[in-house]
This record gives sequence, structure tokens and C-alpha cells, in this order.
Amino acid sequence: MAQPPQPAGVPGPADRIDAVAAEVPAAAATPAGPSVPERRDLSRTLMRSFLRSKAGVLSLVVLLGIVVVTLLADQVAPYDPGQLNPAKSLLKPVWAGGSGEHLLGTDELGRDLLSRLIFGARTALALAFGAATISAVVGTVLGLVGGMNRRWIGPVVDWLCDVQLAFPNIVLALVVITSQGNSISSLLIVLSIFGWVHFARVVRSAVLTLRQADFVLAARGSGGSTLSITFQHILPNVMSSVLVLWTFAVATVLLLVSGLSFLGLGVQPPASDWGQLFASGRAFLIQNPWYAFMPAVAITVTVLCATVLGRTLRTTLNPRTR
Amino acid sequence: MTATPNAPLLAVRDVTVTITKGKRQTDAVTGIDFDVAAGEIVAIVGETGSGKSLSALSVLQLIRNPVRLARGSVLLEGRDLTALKPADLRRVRGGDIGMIFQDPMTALNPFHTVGQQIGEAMTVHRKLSREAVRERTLRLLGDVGIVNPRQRIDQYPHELSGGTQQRVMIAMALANEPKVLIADEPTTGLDVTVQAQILRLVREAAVSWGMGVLLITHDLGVVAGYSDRVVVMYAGNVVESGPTEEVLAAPAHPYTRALLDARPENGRPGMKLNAISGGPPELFKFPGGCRFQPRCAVATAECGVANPALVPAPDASEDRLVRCIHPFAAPVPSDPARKPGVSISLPPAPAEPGVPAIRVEGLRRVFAGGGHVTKAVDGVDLQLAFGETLGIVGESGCGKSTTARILAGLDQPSDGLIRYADGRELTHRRGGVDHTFVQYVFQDTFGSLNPRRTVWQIIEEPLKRLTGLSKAQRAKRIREYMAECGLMPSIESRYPHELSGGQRQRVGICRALVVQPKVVVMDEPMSGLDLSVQAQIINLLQDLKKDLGLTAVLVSHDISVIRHLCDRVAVMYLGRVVEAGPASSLLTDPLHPYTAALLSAVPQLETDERRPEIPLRGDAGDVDPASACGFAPRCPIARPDCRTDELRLTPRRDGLLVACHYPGQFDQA
Repeated sequence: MAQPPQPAGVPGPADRIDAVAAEVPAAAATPAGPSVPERRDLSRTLMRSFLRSKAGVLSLVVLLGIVVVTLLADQVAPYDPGQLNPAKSLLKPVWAGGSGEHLLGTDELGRDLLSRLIFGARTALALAFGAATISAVVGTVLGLVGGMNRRWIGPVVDWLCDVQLAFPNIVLALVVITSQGNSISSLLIVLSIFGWVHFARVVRSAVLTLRQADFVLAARGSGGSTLSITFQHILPNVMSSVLVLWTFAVATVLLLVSGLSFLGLGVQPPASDWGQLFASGRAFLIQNPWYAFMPAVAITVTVLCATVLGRTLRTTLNPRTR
Repeated sequence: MTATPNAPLLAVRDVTVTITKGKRQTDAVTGIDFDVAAGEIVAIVGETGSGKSLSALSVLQLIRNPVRLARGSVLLEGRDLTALKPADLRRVRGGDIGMIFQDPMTALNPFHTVGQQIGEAMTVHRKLSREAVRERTLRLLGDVGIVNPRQRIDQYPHELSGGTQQRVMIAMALANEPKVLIADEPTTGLDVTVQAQILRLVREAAVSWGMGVLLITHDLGVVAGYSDRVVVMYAGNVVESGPTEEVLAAPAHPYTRALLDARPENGRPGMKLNAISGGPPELFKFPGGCRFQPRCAVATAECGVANPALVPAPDASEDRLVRCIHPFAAPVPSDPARKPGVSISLPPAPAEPGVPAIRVEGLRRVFAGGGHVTKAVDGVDLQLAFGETLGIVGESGCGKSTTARILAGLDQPSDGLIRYADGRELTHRRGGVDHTFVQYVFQDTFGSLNPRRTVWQIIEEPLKRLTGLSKAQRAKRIREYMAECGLMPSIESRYPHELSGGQRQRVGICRALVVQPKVVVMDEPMSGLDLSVQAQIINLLQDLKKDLGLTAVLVSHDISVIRHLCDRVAVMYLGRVVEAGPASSLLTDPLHPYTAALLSAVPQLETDERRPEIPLRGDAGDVDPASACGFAPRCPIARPDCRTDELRLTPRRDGLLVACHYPGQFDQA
């Protein structure tokens, strides 16, 4: 069967092939000199992808708000958090019949709850973000090194993980706090020791899979050293897991601190943090349920925002889902 | 050819399968019709995304959300399966219709023995005593060609080789004597010699039991050798169907024609293949009008207007259907107008022409682990001259990929010496390979590109690390080589998942070439690609050979690819080279029985090209470590002294080096 003659001017497939063929040498023939390609502007792409997630933006705004209020605690807080006023103990918040003087009411010693929450955020957030970040860095580095070096560092890291997981956390906390004294820094140490093992395990198992990948072998064939392969090819591919774990760690630490405070190992009065506020509020659940409720809300909101933010960042940082 | 009885055993009518993704919906399979008669093998052939597997799954109603059967009916002996209740449907699945899947390792449960799994398949549909089940299972295992059923029945899947696993799968599918067998790419992961055995088994079962078989495949050789009728699918449409011999002899649809033309068997060595431009469309991105029209060589303006209907082909036998408004159009002699990547200034050619680019002596690679030792490569001697392309052929597990990796310096030998022309040497102690001398191209196009890096970053990496070029010089070099490899500048900032399979492999090739290596080692560079894209990559390698004077090692299990591209060939079996020599003589008139068996097992389209089959026993897993000749346990002409007398590569006629005591005597088998 003969092919019908092609109407002139209609771009047939032959023209298309030519167009394709023409584009290739044309592009190569452009004075290919010093021009480095116009990369997609990475920061703009990331920004656009992040802004697409309403939940992520909201979480970031709330978290930033909490951080700003915490930093400006001296200016923002209506009262001195330690100022006693036994006459006004256990006032209810303003919407539950309390007075406008103390927006969130007062505790059993008549201290302003809002001020105590704001100042308590300092310790709570410093501990949560600090310990989560230290755990993440330590755990990721150990996991990376342990995963890449299977000769002796790997087994040692495995062994450390096993020991850490087998050791009761509370005993560890007792040991550190009794020997180092009860301070924010010793709490930070304890909480970081609790946390690193989870990062190390996840990163290590991800590395064990990734190091088998052909692109790692390809990087070796491209002259890459173990160090550059670890940081340029492996690390970017485990970062999303680390980010998600980090948000979980923030949540876990906030809750752990309140647990330690309950045992008297946490932040010592008169200093306060959310966990400790919550723990002392539990005693007055009948008289003033809001006393325990408000710190719980603060913890929940922070944890929720950190989690949503982590999830959004994971989506944003992955080229496939961005 | 079987005569078609009046009522077909299985009739698929107007089946349309839709996929929903978010708010978008697309027809992955659009209104397909076909019949399967008793004792007949119908092949569905197509590329990725053609909907061939979905069509098969919709027969069994095995599709789930978000995939949905939108309309159509599946009639088994006149009963509509789409209207059945779930309980009745279960009786059909595994009872009246058996199914074989592509990957037997994942389709078999690792926690149950072979006997338990086959027994379960039997007792699901009827009551049988334990002894009866065992006896029937043993008979079934014997029927599917398992050599020692009494031993195999109590083994677990991981103890079996891939071929034996697939036989067990077939035994399970046949356990209830189904009327219809659906085989979804049953031999894709298997070696050609095993593939031939499995397909022959399916064909025998179809004929002797009067079973209808639906064979899904992407391999036209399989279609030609083992099917009575063929259904060609493209982008969710049936584009052509009819008796296999007629369709392959005179394809009516341009797509079928182009597929046939694109096969490497079709071109003479050294010549360009008639590749189809572009790649198959993805789901949700089907073009308007005829779906093949953007890639079609004979498309006209009308083709873009509406998708033509599937109608009887003109001037052909009555059961041939075609979906094209220019059926039987003579193909325009396609001239892939690719100009060489402008002025690539190559470094001067090697000084001494006599020195081989790579010389391998006594290469061994042993993997030890879990208490036992695997000899992947067991004493290989090879030479690679400058300017030549050496093919390494063999079945899976023969050590060809390990050899390739060691040659490229990506793995260390356990013993032996590799001498490179630049004076470097690689032994089990010294890992001194210059990666600007030898580079490597990977098989897995997805796994070998870091998902977090752009095309530009990927190609730039070896330049950054291995050369001292400035940023501007690097940019110039990358542009040149991207053009040479047929990559548009527009994809520079894309990530691997945004590319098609063919583009990803081009990036892999470009990354290897950009440092201007003297030697490129390629491990199955086109085995993961669709047939139409494969031809493009083969053409690309051909061009690169010509433009850059490439010295290359090409590892492949596909003999037609090797035949098309290679000057010299080495055949490996169980870690040793059993035959080596010029491609022309080795691939037409081999001396080693294994090479001969390998060649005879390759499915061929043209009947007159088919060689007399040389049946092999078992598969490559059957090893006798004490035997001097590793092939003796499977060899059709092995004699007792083959297992005892020492063997080495010996020069024979036509420049062939052969490791066999009785070379060229296999026709007496």
C-alpha cells in the first residue's frame, strides 16, 4: 500500500526527526564556552515546594512564634514567674471564670501560669531541640561510619547500640544526675544518650542498603573516596529518615523530661519547664483542671508542629516528591 | 496451527481497565478483545505500559483499587467471570484458570516446602488424602521436568535454582488441570537454555491436555517460536492481532513492523538498526489520535485526529485485525539523522599498537561467606586489543558480570593479574586502576544514578574528581558528550526519575565516556530497556564505536546483541572461558557444545534460521565440583574422561580457542 502524499506544510514525523536531530548539534555548537548551565534555582524550587504545603507553613509560623516569645520572655511575660501570691492561689483562666489579671490563672502558690509557661518554654525547648539535635548528629555520624566501615567500627557501633538499648534509661539518668549534679547540662547529656541509638540504628541500616547501590559503585569508578561518597552520595539519601526521626525525638524528649521531673530527676523548682508544670498540675486536677491542661496543650502543639514540619521538609528535600 | 473450534474456551470482550490517581483517571487498557481456544497458545506482546499484564490480571479479576475494571466481560466457556460472586471466583482461580508469574522467587512462599505449596494448591479445591496428594505432587514434578522429584519435594524454594523454581510454579498452576493457563513473562528472568525448556514444557502441556494458554511476553522470538496467535498491544490498545506466522511474516500495523525491524538479529553486524524514535508513552500521557502516531514512520496528519478502530485487515485472512488507517504501509527507510557530536578532540591514540589494552591472566574471584565458598570467576585469561569490542556471553551465574567489574577496577580479584596498557596492574593486593583509562556502564539504569543528583551533577562528577579541568572546560566537555550520546541540553537539570529508561542509560554511558577513557566495560547496558529503545542504544554504541574509536567490553546474555556489536566473543560457563574467538566464526560455527546449545536455544523469528535444538540437562545450578570440565554434568556429548582429564583453552580452527575434549562433535549427540 502506497503512502498517501504528505500535504505540504503539515509537520509530519520526518520533520519531527529532523527537528530533534537539529536541536542536538545546535545545542552543542552554541559557543559552549565558559557558560555553566542555568541550573534550576535550587533555593527557589525548595521555597516554592515548601510554601505549597499549608500545614508545613503553619507549623513553621507557630514554632517560630513559640521561639520568639521564649526568647523575649522577659519582655512578654506579664509577671515574674517566681512571684508568690498565696492569696490568689489556683485561680482559673479568664474564660473559666478567673480574672483578667492572670490570663491562664495561677498555680497552688499563686504564681502566674502564663508567665511560668513562657519561662518554662525556655528549658523545655532548649532541652527538646538541643537533645534531639545532639542525638541526631551523634547518631547519624555513628550510623554512617558504622555502616560504611564494617571492619571494626561497624561492630563496635552495633555493640554500643545493643548495650544502650539493654540498659534501663532511668538507672542511667540516676547515675548521670547523681554524679554530675542536677543541672540543665546534665539533663541534656542524659536525654542525648537516650536518643542517639535510634538515629544510629536507622541510619546504619539505610547505609547498609545504600552502599550496595550501583550509584555508589559508580561514584567509586568516578574516583570518589570513601569520605566523599559517604557525605555526597549516602548522607543526602538518609537525611529524610533522619529528619523524621528528629521530629519524633523532639516529641519524645519533651515527654521524657516531664517523666524525669515526675521522679524528681528533672528540672528542679523554682525553675520550671512544661513537663514539670504538668507534673505539679496533676495534683490539682479537681480544683483547677486547667493548671495541668495548659502545659499539656503547649507540649502537644509544639510536638505536632515539629512533626508536621519534619514531614513537609522530607517531601521538600526529596527531588521525587518536591 | 490448531483449528479454532466454534466457541472459544476463553473470550475477552471489550475489557477496559482504568487507573485513578488523585483526580486524574486514565484507561490503561482500552477495549481489548481476544479469544483463546483449547490447546492454543495466544501471545500478548508489548512494551512497558502497553497494558499486557493488566489485561491478563483482569481475566482473573485480580486487579485492585486504584485499578478498576470499567467495562467488558471475560467469558470462560460462556460463563462471565466479571459477574461471579467472590466465592465462585476463587473456585475459578487456581481451579479452571492457573497462573504463572514472572518472578518465581517472590511468588513462592519461602517458609513452605515445594510439596506443601503444591499440595495446598491441590487441596484448596478438593479433598484428597495426604498420600494421594504426595503421590500426585511427585508425578506432577516429574511431568514438569524436575530431575529428582523425591529429593525436591521436601526442599524449600531458596534451595532451588531459578529454572527449577519456575518449574515448581508451573506444577502448582497445573495441579488442578486448569482449562486455561495464564503465563505472565514466565521466562523473563531465566537463561535462554532454561527458557527453551520451560516454554517447550508449556507447549506440550497445552497440546496434550487441551489447555488454552495466554502467554504474556515482550520477546518476539518467544512469540514466534511458541504461540499460535499473537495480540500486539501498544499504550493500552490492541494494535494488531492474528495468526502468529502471518502477523510476523507480513505485519499490518507500523508498530509491529517497526518492532520487527528494530531487532538486532535484523541488521547486519556493523550496520545501524531501524530504531523507533522516542519511547513508549507513560500512563496519563497517552497522545491524542492514534497512540503510536508520534513515533510512527508512516503517520500522516489524519493519524492525529482520532484513534482508529480495530478492524479486519484488508487483503488478509479473516481473523487478522489491525488498528491503523495505513495498514501494510511500506516503511519509509528511516535514516536516524544524527550528526556526530561535533568536534570532540580526542587525546592521541595509544603509542604501541601491539600492546593489548587489557591483558587478564588467571583471574579468580572467590566469595566466601556463611561457611561456604563460591567461585564466581575461576581462572580466566583474556586479551583485549585496542579498537576492538569484546563480547562476554554466558548464563546467569557464570561470572561474566564479576569479570567485568574487576576489569573496570570496581572489584578486586582474589588471584591473578590484570595488566593495563597504561602500565598499571591489578592484583589481589594492589588496587591501582586508573579510572580515566577504564570506565564502566551499569545494567540497572535506576540504581546506578543517585536519585538526589541532577543529570549535570552526575555527568560532572567523574570530570571533577578525575581530571583537572576548569569549570568552563568541564561545561564544554559535558555539552559535547551529551550531544554525542543523544541527550538534549534541556534535561541537564532533571533528576533520574524524570527521565525515560533510554535517557537514563544514555546518561550512564555519557558519564562513563566523558573522561575519555581508553576502554569502556559495559554490563548488559540494554537488558532493562524496551525493545524499541534497545535498538536506539545499540545504534548509539555503534556510533560511538565509529566516532570515538571505542575499545569496549560488552557483557550480555543476548547473543543477537553480541553478534551485532562485537568483534570478538568469549563464552563463559561456571567462571571459566570455554570458548573464545572472532564473533563471525564463533557465533555461526561454534566448537564447544555449550556455545552450540546456547545458540540453538535462542528463539528465532525465521524458521529457516532455527538451529536443531541441542537439549541440555538441568540448568547451571547443577554443578559437580569434582569434574574437570564444569559443563560435563549437563553436556549432551560428555564421556567419562571429560570429568577426569584436565582441560585448557586450546587453539582450533578459525582462530577459535576451545576448552573441550571433543570440540565440534555435538552433532553426533
